Amino acid sequence: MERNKVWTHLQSYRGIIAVGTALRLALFLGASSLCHALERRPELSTPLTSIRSLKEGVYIHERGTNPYDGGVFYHSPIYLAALTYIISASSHFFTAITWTIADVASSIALINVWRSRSGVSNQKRECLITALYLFNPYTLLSCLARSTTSLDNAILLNAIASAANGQALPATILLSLATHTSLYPLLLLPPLVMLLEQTKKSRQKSSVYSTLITFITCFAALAGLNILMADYSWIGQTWGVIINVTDLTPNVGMWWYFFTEMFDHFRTFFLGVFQLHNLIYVAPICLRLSDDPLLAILVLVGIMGTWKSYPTLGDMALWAGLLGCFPEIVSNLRHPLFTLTVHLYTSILLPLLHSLWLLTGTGNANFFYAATMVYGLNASLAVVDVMGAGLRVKVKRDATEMFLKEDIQNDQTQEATNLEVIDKLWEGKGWSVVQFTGSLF
Amino acid sequence: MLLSSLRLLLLAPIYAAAVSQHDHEDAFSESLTLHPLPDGRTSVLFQFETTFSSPRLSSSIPQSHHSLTPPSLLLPLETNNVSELTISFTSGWDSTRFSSAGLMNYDSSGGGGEIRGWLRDSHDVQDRWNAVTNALGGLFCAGLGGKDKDQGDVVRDFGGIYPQKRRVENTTHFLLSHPESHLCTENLTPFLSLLPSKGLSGISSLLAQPGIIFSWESQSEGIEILMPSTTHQGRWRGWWEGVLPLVPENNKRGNDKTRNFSIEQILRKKLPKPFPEAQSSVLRLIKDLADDNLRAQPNGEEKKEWIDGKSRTVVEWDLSNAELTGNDIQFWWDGENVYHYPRNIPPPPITISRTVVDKLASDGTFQITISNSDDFERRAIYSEIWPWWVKGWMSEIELLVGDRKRPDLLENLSYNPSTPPRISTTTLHFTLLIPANSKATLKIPFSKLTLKYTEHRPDAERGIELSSGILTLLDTLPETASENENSKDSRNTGRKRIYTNRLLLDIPTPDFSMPYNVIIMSSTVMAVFFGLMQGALTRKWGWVEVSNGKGEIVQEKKDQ
Repeated sequence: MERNKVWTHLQSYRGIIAVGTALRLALFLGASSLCHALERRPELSTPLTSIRSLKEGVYIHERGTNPYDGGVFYHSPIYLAALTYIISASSHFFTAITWTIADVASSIALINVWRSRSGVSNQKRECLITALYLFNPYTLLSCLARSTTSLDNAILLNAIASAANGQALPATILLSLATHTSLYPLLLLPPLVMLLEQTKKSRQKSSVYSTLITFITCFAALAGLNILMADYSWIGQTWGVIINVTDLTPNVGMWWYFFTEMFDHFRTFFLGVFQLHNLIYVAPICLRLSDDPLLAILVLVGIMGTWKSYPTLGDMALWAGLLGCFPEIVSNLRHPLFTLTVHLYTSILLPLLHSLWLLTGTGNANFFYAATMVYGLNASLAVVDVMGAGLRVKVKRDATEMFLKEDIQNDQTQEATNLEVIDKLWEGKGWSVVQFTGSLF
Repeated sequence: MLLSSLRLLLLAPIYAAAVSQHDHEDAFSESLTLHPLPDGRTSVLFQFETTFSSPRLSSSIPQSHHSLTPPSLLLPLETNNVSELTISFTSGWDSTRFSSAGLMNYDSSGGGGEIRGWLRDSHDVQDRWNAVTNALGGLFCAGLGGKDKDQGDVVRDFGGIYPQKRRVENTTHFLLSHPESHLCTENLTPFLSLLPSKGLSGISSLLAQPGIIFSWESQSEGIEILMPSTTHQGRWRGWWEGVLPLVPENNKRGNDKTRNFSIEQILRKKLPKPFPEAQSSVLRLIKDLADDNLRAQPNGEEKKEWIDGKSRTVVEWDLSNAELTGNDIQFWWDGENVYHYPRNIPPPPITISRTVVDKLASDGTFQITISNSDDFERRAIYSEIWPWWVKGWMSEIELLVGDRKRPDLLENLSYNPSTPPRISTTTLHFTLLIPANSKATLKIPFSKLTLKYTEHRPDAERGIELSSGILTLLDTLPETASENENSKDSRNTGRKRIYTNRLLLDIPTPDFSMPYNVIIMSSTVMAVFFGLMQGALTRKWGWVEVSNGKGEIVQEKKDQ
């Protein structure tokens, strides 16, 4: 009887969240030496997201000096204020609770995204989404390392969930917050506005402008608060570092070794190339996937997580979590097994080669660079795969709809959106989606 | 008679001028000090001091007149409005073996080269400092200038550590540390050329033997200049110090295993002719209490002096005495047939050492151990200068006495962080108390930032030196005998600063042969991604019907 009750609870997403929370708290409090070791991992936190830097900044701030004036402190003043005035950065217990709550908030946001996307409340799928996010080793380890990536992810996912539910105000406020803390979420503004437009169902005509104005107001208000707190010096030390990549501490991204080895006179040019490379995808993806802005967000989150200047594994966790809300895409992926196994491979390779170079000092930088190359290439290919799968699903849907319209006698129109039906139909007909060599235009 | 009195009348102002000038005449004095150390070695210190006045200050006519002073040294300082300047090169000192916390000359810096000084303030003070370092760097055949044109490696908050010797208002202190510099034969020739005796006569002729001088173990060279003012004469002082073993290792003198030595034996020359312009030329021998049986022949004049916290016997010989010229002085320990290396050498009252523990290629922890063997607490400032790529974690600093954390002993911490990625320095000043008879350990965790490929020095695999840490004792008293009858009180010393060793840190290096490969490979990954995305976004997508698995296209439809 009791066991059954527990089992039914476990089958609801609340049960999964409870288990996830318990696991995190247990590891935080029970294995604090593990957490301490994870804090130093460059795969989990860069100088821009590490709790060690944040603690240092809070310490300097509490001594009455401005941490942005010198030294190496790249965190947003928002985090500095939060960990100075709200929770103490040096308190292991309170930070552990904060990071656990952040992960829980992320998983609830994912459920909201799924519900608003599918329009149904599928208990099993919700459990799966929650479990995929909370028990993803990348998420779990980022949380245990208390990397601020986990907090960034929570803010961003809630922004996306609010937008998916048509709540413009919270979505814009959260997005401006996410932009403040890690800058790159700014690229998600266009698809987010599109998503809001789609979900609001034309309640207001001028809502694009109002959304933009809200975003700019929130953004400016936060900037104003930051300036009150830390003068103007934080701009160069937070966004400036994200843009100019002045800190070359190794991470899983493609930037650090490139700009370590770059000749000084080409540096500015290649900085421009690398930053524009992130920016360049926003417009085409929003145009091509205009009927599904959430998919556009998914692809852009993947691109950002791979190609931003200071990525961590936590960024990949965000993308993987979001991918859980797109079961039709996962089932249409071309090489999911390859992606997954290479992720496993790099998760062994990265710490191994990092320790060879930076801990024992026996290898050199090429070792770790090679591992980040494998990771980056794999992540890139996975993003392309997801993009392709998204387009394939679209073609399948459109074709099925067309077919069903021609065949009016068939009563399956309502079920046209059901993927299983589509797949069955396509298999029966012997149809498959192809990418032609001819250009769209 | 009339004529002579007329002449007297006419020439009176000139005489008067000559007489008044005589008051401020430049004076030169030199000394050679020997100080046998407890481990069978001896310290040798050459000191040359000139007091001078500037004719510019006393006359309305601009003139530059030098008799005993080197114009190449003083003119750049005068032009750049320098008030005080010290240049010092040091290599090696083992305080545990030599029973003394540092070199005999208190103004010697820690390991490596160092230039520091006070400049009179004006808007271009930074440029003038730059000009001085560059001018004198050429003089000493060592790059003394900054590594960075923006002067990022110049430290300006060490004025409290190296206070002015002579109070001058509105001045700024500058310090530029070159821990990688070391003494070489190229430093000796310019040093000698600055001296009025040029290494040809007097004590300087004993120094002008690079073959002997550079075989010594520990060396320190330096100059210190106090520029003249309207009220004070200027003074410039040069020193050269070294440590040499007395018991020969390759014993060519048969079975002589004693420490017996003579001037000729250690310097390969008999006592030289005095330098005629020298006001004083003195040979000094410092005898510790333990060296009670140290004898010399011919005898010198003995007196008691308080040196570095201890009362010691000083024997002096006046080298201007013609009897000594061309002769030798013998030194021996009475009753010593074989010299036994002592099993225990008493350490100096305060010792300091710095090591790196928890050593990883990218991280580490500085562990600074300060031991106080006295029965009283000492108050001191411990200062560090780090290059910009050393990032200390201030929030994780620990001060331990034994195994116990004692944050209460750390009175104050002044932290001036560097501003990477620009070349800059981090300076740290810990004001702390060192409890009596204990060992305080300061632990500072740090990380090494990743340097750009172009920021590594040639031979990057060797590592980069870090400047010595400086322990400045705040409770020292003048070097006079203390009131109590003890022959020892470590507070009564002119040695205010005790230096740690330099530290060689290896930094994680990139592969220097890789720039093109990295650019090409990273760009390829980017291009692959861009190409695939571009393909997916711009190509037509459609569907085909493949019947009965034979690959035959039955129907082709296109989307959009």
